[in-house]
Amino acid sequence: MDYQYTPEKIILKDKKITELDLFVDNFVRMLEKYVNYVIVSGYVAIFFGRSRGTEDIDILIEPMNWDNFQNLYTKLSEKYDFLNSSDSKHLFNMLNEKLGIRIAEKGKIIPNIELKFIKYSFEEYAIKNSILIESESMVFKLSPIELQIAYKLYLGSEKDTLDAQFLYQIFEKDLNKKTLDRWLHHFKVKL
Amino acid sequence: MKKKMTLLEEAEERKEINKRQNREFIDMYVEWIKKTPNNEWSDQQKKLIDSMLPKKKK
Repeated sequence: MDYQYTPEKIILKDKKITELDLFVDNFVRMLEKYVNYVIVSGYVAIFFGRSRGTEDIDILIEPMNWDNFQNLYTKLSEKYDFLNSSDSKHLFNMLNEKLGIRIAEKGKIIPNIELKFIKYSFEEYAIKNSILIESESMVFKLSPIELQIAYKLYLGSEKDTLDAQFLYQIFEKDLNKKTLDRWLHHFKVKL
Repeated sequence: MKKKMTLLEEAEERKEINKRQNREFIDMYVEWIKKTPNNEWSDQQKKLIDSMLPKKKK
């Protein structure tokens, strides 16, 4: 694996783009016109080569007011189905109640985006300290790897633990050890 | 004589062996991916991931 790593950006050249990458890229290009976002959780590990599938991509966005959400909803509805409800007010209430709303290409269920408003301090950290990843013509904002590793260990399932192990071993020499230790301490987990 | 394991003890042992071997696989996979050109590892990964998604209508 050949990549260039800085705390702000990871450049990964010559990666073969998957259908999942294209799905995420198309969605994010539309989303970012309306709101700041960060991609978190399993897709971070999958993007860098973890050999597993997923049915959903977790994306956090800054909380929006009703008018802005309606504009986003209208635009996304041109291309996507909202799986939880087609009532935009209901979806807006769900987001405000810390719930995720699932969005898929029209007529499909998987893969889907699970969109949430940022509601917790570690989520605010993820968006404020997001790292850019560049691969071919795609640019995404991802959660900092150190936070992802610690949070995945905290979640604790077999899948999450292996995601954390994978990310740690891939980026071991690049990670900010102090930042990683701080997040491990916050979540009361160990490598 | 060794005591026969209960079904739950057997399942627990199987679970632990699986966990250990999954961690060992990640060790091996990361070692491979680190020394493999991006276009090669990502080609294999693309086949896996694309095969799991609904086929695009032509």
